[in-house]
Amino acid sequence: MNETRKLTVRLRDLMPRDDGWGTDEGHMVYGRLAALVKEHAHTTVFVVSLSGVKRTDASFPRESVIEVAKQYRKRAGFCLVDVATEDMLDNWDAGALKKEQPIFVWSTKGYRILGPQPSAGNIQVMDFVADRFETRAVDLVNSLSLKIANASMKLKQLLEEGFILRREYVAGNRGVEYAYFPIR
Amino acid sequence: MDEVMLQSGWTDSDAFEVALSQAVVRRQEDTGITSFVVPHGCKIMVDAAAKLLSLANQARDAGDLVVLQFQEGMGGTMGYLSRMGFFDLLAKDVAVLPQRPSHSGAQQYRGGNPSLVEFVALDPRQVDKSLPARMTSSLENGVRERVADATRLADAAYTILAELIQNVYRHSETRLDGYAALQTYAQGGQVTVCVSDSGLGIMQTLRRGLRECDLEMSKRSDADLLVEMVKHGVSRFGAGNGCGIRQCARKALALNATMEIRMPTSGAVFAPSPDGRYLGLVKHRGTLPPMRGNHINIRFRT
Repeated sequence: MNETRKLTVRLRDLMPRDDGWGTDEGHMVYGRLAALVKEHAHTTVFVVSLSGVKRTDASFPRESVIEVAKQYRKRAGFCLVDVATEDMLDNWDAGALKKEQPIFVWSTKGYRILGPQPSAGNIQVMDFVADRFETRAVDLVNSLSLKIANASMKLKQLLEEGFILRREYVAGNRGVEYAYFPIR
Repeated sequence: MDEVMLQSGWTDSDAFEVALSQAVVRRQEDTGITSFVVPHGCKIMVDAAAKLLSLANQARDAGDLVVLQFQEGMGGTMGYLSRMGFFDLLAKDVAVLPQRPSHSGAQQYRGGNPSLVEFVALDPRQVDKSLPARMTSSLENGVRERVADATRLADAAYTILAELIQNVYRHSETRLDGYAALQTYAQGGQVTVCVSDSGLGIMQTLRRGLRECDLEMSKRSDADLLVEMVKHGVSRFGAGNGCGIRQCARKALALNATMEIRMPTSGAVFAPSPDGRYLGLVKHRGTLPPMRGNHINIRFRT
């Protein structure tokens, strides 16, 4: 993965109605979304717009978007925009917790993480990465006064847990290094 | 003979249970006849009606002769039940006295009253995908003029309906239909949402699945399992499932509602804690008269 490619997906276009109901419907939309992801194999971030989605329960997002996000963890990221209500956020949060898959929601006010949260020790690094286009371990050394090994470890943890992504690049004669970036 | 005698006055789910318990106490022998007596002045509320409908159909399915006696006829609560579609879903060979309504109030007026959603049959072979949204829309229209944020209330109700109705389709394992209905009691400032089925019951289906994926959890008491379902969510399909009852509880809390879960031989009531932070178990009864399935009623104030 050497560059960040982004695709906006309007979830309503994959749904039969403007309300998303239940496990079976979730499975159906999972299939449609997974096919789309496969079709765009080089896309790194899928921005899922909930524009036009009036309501969902908790089972529908759990079995659709969140399941796809879990399957593609570390390879591609999924985030949400245009979420209409706090009620919907609560249901998606429940689904994300059950799947143990975090999912970012972006708005004009910033971001919110649904589902599992970064550990207390990684919150500062998470915020740092979320505020930037990309972050290298050495950036954390300079800005947060972390030791390089600790910085690398925290970034890798956040990657493994599904909070961030990374791309690799060749750093001269230092070999392959990583740049981490938010799912946005 | 089981003779269930309801009382005059407003008859909600609790009052129905009292009548049921008294019938069991009075029972002398099993004659294969089940009778429900609805006296003058008895006003059956929707949560009691759901149980009555389920129980009458279950008794008939078990081979009993079943009789419903409405002492006030169509002028009383029988008229309301007709309007709610009760008799459309009552087994055809259940006897109704003085006589079955000649026409269905529900079929004539369905959708015409914003204060109620008539009984809907839940048959897994014919899933109506639009049902939760339609019921929610009716509720929102019914409370819009009285409630400041009708949309917020409707959002919460949608989740409750969607999750409970899905549970009937996924878990009930019965050939008998389940039922869903909704009633706004404007004078009392209350909305009651009911979803019933006549299947195996939450605990039986849940424990069976838990034995495969979480043996320790499967050994807990009914009350403990219910609390776990409400707090964290538990499913027979494993750790990645089980949002339904938990989300219903969260929405009930947001609406300051109570949630009754009636199972084949036990029942529980959950209500918001005094500080409003969680939905807590306030009553659990482990020995109730047998009634197949799950009957979940959520009551909230408007």
